[in-house]
Amino acid sequence: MSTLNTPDERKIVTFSLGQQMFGIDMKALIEIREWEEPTPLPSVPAYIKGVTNLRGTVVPVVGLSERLGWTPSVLHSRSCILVVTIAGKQAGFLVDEVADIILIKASEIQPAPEVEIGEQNVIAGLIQVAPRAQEGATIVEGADMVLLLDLDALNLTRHLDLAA
Amino acid sequence: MNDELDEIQAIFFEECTEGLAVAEQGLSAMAAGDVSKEVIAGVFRAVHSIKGGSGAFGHAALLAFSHCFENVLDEVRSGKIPATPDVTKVMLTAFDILADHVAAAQGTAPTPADSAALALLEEVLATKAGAVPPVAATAVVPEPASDQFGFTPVIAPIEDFDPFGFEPVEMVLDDLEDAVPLPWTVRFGPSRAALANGAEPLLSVREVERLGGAIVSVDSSALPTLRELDPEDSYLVWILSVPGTIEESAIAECFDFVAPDSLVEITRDLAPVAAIAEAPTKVETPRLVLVEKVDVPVAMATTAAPPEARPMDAIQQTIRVDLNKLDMLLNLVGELVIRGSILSDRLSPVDQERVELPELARLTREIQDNVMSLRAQPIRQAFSRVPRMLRDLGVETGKQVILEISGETTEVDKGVIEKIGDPLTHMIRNAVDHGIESPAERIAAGKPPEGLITLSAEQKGARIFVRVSDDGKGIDRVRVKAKAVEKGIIPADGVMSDEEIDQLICAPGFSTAETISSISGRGVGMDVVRSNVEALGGRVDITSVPGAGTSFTMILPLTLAILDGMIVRLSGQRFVLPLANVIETVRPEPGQVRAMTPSSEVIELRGAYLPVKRLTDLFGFVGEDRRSPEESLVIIVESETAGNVGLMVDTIDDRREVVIKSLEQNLHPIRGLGGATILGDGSIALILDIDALVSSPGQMVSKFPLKGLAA
Amino acid sequence: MSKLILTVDDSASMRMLLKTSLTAQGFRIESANDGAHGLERMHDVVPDLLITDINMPKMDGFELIEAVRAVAQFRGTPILVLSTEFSDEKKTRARSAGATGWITKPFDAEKLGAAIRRVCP
Repeated sequence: MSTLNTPDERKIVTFSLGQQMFGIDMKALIEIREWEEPTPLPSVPAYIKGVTNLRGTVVPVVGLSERLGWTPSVLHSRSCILVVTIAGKQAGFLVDEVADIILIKASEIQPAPEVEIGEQNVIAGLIQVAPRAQEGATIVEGADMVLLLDLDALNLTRHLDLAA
Repeated sequence: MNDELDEIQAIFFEECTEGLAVAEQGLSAMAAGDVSKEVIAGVFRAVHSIKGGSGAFGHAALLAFSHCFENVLDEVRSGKIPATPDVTKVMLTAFDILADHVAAAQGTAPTPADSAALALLEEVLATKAGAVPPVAATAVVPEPASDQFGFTPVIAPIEDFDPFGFEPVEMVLDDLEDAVPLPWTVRFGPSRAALANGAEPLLSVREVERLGGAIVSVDSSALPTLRELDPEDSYLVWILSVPGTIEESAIAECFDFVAPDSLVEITRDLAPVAAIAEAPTKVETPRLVLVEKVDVPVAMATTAAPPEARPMDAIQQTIRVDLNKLDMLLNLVGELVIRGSILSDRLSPVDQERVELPELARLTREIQDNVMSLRAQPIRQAFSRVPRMLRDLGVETGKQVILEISGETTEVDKGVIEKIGDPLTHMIRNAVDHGIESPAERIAAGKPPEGLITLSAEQKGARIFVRVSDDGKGIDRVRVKAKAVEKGIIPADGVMSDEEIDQLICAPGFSTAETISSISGRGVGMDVVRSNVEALGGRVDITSVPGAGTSFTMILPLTLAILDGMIVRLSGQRFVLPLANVIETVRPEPGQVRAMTPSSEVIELRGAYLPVKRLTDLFGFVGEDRRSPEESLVIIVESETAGNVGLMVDTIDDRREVVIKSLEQNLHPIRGLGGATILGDGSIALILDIDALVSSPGQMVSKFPLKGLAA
Repeated sequence: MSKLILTVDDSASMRMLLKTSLTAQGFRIESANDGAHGLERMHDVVPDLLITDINMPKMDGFELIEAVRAVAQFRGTPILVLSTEFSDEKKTRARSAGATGWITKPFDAEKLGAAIRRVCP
């Protein structure tokens, strides 16, 4: 893989959750895995689907859609898990479909408008993407807006019992 | 660095204050007629310490005076000067001057006029010292501004070769300054005893090499024939050449620690070198040929038992190993254990025997135990600084505290020991600051004036419990809650249980720098405790009873521990039950398990009734196939807080060792779980933390219950 | 891995001074505040080098050295004694107790480092 991107440029992995396109920084991605039913955990929020074995370490699997407040993903054949690293910890995000890897300039990221969602904003910015039909990826209609996620804001290790 | 030195100096002055108090007390006792050895030794030590520190911090006048005072005390201590009332009187006078000197060094008073007191001390030394001629020595109070090592021995004969106070050679070298100095030749023959006491003659050679010297040759002429050779004896003499620009004292210093009967000869080369043929003739004068043989007087050599020579192979009794290497080894052993489980899964018992799998398993376990023990150390190490800390805190806060320690021999992983020091400090500090009341308050509350802090460590299954309990006033929940609201940690209208309020103490941002510790110099925050402990994969439990005290318990994992567990199945999911908690397994007869209330059951066991809990209920799992007790197994487990409890499970799969993988590595600790493990087929089984599971009131109410279990 | 040194001195300022100057030279330092504590810490710390004061309550430096040398594990551990003066008599006493070398107080960082290098590679 080329590393020609300048400091100004970022590689973004885009994926869909329902009708919406999201993106995360490529640097955070460890691997993409097929969906596999994780071992459920007690006393955790519903969006934590459980834990799975990732090469000998125990990694939580998160229903990203629910985590973001959308309806839970319905499992299908292209459902997959994006394994990412957030602040030194690993987590698997259940997503509907991985779409593309795009190269963008920092200047192309627009700040997300203030939205009242009751918690720290998990959207780092918005990106306009021209729909591309090649490379076999099915582009969801109207998916020319990618919501870039702020992974640090999705940190799972914060204590929920106290925040309640 | 300067700040650091100032800080250390401040501690020195505190010690001086303590020392002066000890000395004063001792001298008063002596004046009252108690001239016992202990009392005199106590005064001596106090003055000696003041002297030691004053030298280190460059307080010349204080050093000079305390040195003289110490000399007198030393003689009194050894009985050479009788501790008569007159002598004690002189010492009390000297004590007052010493206190003035300390104040002067601190800058709070002018330097006292000490000549009268010095004269008195010297008189005592002179008149009572008999044949010992140290009078002159007291006059030779070292000039503090001079070389710090120019501390001339007081009782030692002047000929004594002292590495730090060697003057004459310098003079000689000064004469030579303009000449090209000839190199030195050093003949070094370590004696048979050269390796005793952990000494290593090679290091002396290395030091010479640092000075620019080099080994030129080895004189093996003393080497006997092989038949006569004593392998423990030393026969070789190394000949080293050192540049002439190096001072002889510097070379001699390299050999200062070498066993006394070793050969050390330092000579100026006489062989004319072409390039310096016109060297001044005085270079060749005999007085320049200095031979130094490190030797002790014969009389002393006989009193000192010569250290025994030891064979070379006995030197290295321990080696130090990089912790990372140990961790890697532990990981590999963990993998080995898992592979072993897989093998035993796949092979029939007959095949297992045929390939000697049980033997392999036994060996694996032994390796495992050994590797684990390499990292384990008694927790005493982490506890050792607590008593001193409590004393300091007692002085600072005026609260008196008695410390009780138990379980200090509990072995814990080294990494854990290193990291619990800070949390422990905070917990103790918190207990004294916020738990223990002042003596007056305690008496008013009908408690003894001294507070009690109990520090304990205990291993339970795969966890270590480190507990700090005090018998103080308990957590003031009204205040804590108010403060949390004020700091915006919780909303003002939040309804919270007592337990939840107690937990707030550890909430980030709760405790502020309002308590600045003079000991750690930092703000003390219990959130630091929580975050440190959680970083270790542990958790902090707080229990508090108003008026009766508070307990903070750090529950820590034995890192990378391997657990002996029972694998049980429940609604299709597998769990690991630590075998350490299991007492027995019961298959209930009809009627043996009965409902006590609509939501609780008991099992009748040999006439006694024990509570029965269903794992599904404890975890808030809603199992579709809720089995009847007769179709289930009840595992009687032992818990610290709830006594014996029955846990209802579907079946028992296996009993085996599992490698503990922490949940907190990528998530956070979950109450009721001790971690997870990866089974032979690659799937994950959760490890139950029995104590947390059964001791919680009611059930492990899950705020976010799972919809159900995947089959 | 840097060398681990156990310093035993009843004076906290002296312990800190040792710690400050030795830490600056790349050593790792553990400390104990008297002979008895020092002996206990020996087993916990298992240092590469022991530096001990002589005049201490409970157990003095010489007693500590003798006790340490009595343990097979520590027979080869270098030991430096720290004192304000070293007469021949005192050096002999130190040697017979089992000390490897000595350091005169007050010390400067350089001399301290050199003394350590002579006993501890």
